[in-house]
Parts: sequence; structure tokens; C-alpha cells
Amino acid sequence: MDRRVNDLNHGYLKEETKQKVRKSFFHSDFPAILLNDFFDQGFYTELKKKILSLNFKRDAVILHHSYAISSYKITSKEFCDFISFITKKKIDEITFSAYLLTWKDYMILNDKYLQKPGIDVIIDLTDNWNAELGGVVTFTDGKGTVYPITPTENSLAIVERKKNLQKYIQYINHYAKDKKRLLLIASI
Amino acid sequence: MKINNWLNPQNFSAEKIKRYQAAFSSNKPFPYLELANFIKPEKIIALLQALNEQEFSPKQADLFQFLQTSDLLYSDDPVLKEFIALFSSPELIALMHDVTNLKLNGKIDLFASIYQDTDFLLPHDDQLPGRKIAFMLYLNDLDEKDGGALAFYETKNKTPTKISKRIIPKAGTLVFFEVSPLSFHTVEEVVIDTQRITLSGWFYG
Repeated sequence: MDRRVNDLNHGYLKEETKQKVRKSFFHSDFPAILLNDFFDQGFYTELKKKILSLNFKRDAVILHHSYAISSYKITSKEFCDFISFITKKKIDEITFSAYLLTWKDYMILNDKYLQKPGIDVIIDLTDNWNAELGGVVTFTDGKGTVYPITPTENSLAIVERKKNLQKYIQYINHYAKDKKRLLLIASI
Repeated sequence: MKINNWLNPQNFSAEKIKRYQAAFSSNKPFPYLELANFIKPEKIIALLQALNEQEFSPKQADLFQFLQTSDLLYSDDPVLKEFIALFSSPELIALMHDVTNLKLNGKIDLFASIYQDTDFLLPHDDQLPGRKIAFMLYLNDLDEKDGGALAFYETKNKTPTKISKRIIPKAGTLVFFEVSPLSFHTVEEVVIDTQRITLSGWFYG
């Protein structure tokens, strides 16, 4: 990734903001944060362009998922330092799964695909996505409590997946037409 | 309980039951039967009127999105009570046994569901302890282009691979299949502004 003046929205680089975000992340009942306008606009546009140029491969395991997938490594120091600061984990690079979902795609819960506890980092690269189309990344504790991550372009979500917390991506319905849902998700 | 009040008797002659047995066991991708005109048209209307008085709640999870009643076994509605008596009756249980050769104990579950625009049920096999036969009675018609088809999957090593059978809802049709490790099915998304209304449940054994 080419370096710019800033990779992140400069507001998120301020010490005071970072402290607030970290406090919010660690002190909520559901340890999660959603940061809008996260990347600098130029970085975001370039990142999205690079992701769209990846070689996506269709993958369907009927009882778990249907989507196109690729991978992408972000090495931006600003980005990795920010994630390190918030999560208190040393991060030098993050390899993301890049997901491209369209009508009829989904990722559902399946005992054979249980995720170990960890921290999920989710970058939303979908412009103008309406939650009514489905495709919402949703966390659930398996007891009926769900935590949907509001789809927002150029947003970063960090979610601590404690024991029994799993995630799924809602089925995308026919109103999506030709729209594409583009997400980067990594577990650290 | 006189089952002939509800059912078309000509559909249940000894000869027809033999045909149903053969069809059920040979149907692919897993044993199922589709019985058109299972109940009399006036009973479909009575059931729709009864369901109009029931409360439907939205059900939404990773696997599904639709409206559903609570378990209708506890309903006070006289028409629904009669329907439950029909489906729990020794005559109907014997009929299901004759067709499927599965041992049933007379216990059933019964729910009504409404699938509207964008509603769906993703692939699963219905397996839970005691469930022997899944059934669904369609109470209205849909076209192929409307979505809402019940679709069955072929399997390889007990894993669903592709859809090989689609059933388009038609009022009065009863569909039932053996619940097994192979009974993977889905309800495809409804893609128009309509309602797909069914009574469905399981026979236990």
C-alpha cells in the first residue's frame, strides 16, 4: 500500500481520540467499536480499488456459506499501530479475507465452523449499502442476543469475540440486484 | 373424528395408497410425497380464516426470516383444533405409516408460517430427536417466478451438493418427507409482494 500524508482519518490519530476509543472498546458490555469515516478518503478509494482488482474465487459450502473470496494484506503502519493501540496486541500487518457477496449469498452458523475466541477486525468497503438488503455482519451469543454491525462505507469495526460469540452474514435478498457487498474481515 | 370431512376420500383408496408407498420410497433425492388436493377446498378457506385470527411473530436468524405462529397445539380455535385432531387421529397416523413405513407415536407439532417478500429458509435437515416425518400443507398458490419453492438437495457423503427437486406451493397440496441425515431442504426466497401461507410440523415416533 502506498503511503499518503495520512492513511487514517486524521481525527483518529489524535491521542485523545485513541484513548477514548480504547476505553469504549474495553468497557462496553459487548466489546465492540464501529468507527465511521475511518480511512483518509484517498487511502480508502485506493484500498477499495485494489480489493476490487483481486482475483475473487466463488466458494460455496451450502451449510455454511456462499460468497466469493480472496485475501489482502494491509501493512500500513498507521493502521497497524492504531489496531495495536486499541486492542493492546502487537500488530505489524494484518491479512484479511476479502469477501464479495451478491444476491443469495450468506454466511451462517455451523458447528463445524466454530470460531475460537479472538478479536475481529472488519473493514466495510461497500458504498451506499442498505441493511434491508441483508448482508449485515451480525454477532450472536447463541441465546437469542444479536449484535448487528451497521453497514457503513469506510468504517472499521473491532469486535472482541468472547467464548460463545459467533458471527454470521445475513442472506442477501433480491433487492440487492447487481449490488456487491465488499468486506475485509480478519481475526487477530 | 371423521377424516372424510376434511380429506378427499377418492385420494385414499387401497390402490392409491400402494402407489403412494411406491412413490414415497422411490422419490429422489430422499423419500418424500407430494399429494395434490389433499384437503377439501372449503377446508382451505376455513383454515385461512382461522389463521387470520392468529398472531404471527417475525422470526429472524442466520438461517431464516419469516412470520410464524406459536405452537398451534394450544390454539382455542375450533377449526385449528379439528385440524390438529385430524393430524393426530389414528386414521391419519395409520395412513402416514402405511405410506412411509415409519413408526409413529401420534405426537405432532404444528405451526403456521407466512413467507413474504425477501423471506427465506436456508438449507438444513430438520433433524431433532423424535422427528420422523416433516409435513407442510400449502394454503395458497405461488408461481414459479414468485420464489418460495420448497427445494430438496442431493447429497454426497451426507453433505448437500445441489438442488434436484423444487415444489411450487399450491393450495391444498400436502408435502411430507422422511427426516433423516439426507433430508436437506430449503425454502427459496420469496421475490414478489405476496404471501406464502403454510401449516407445517412434524410427526414424531
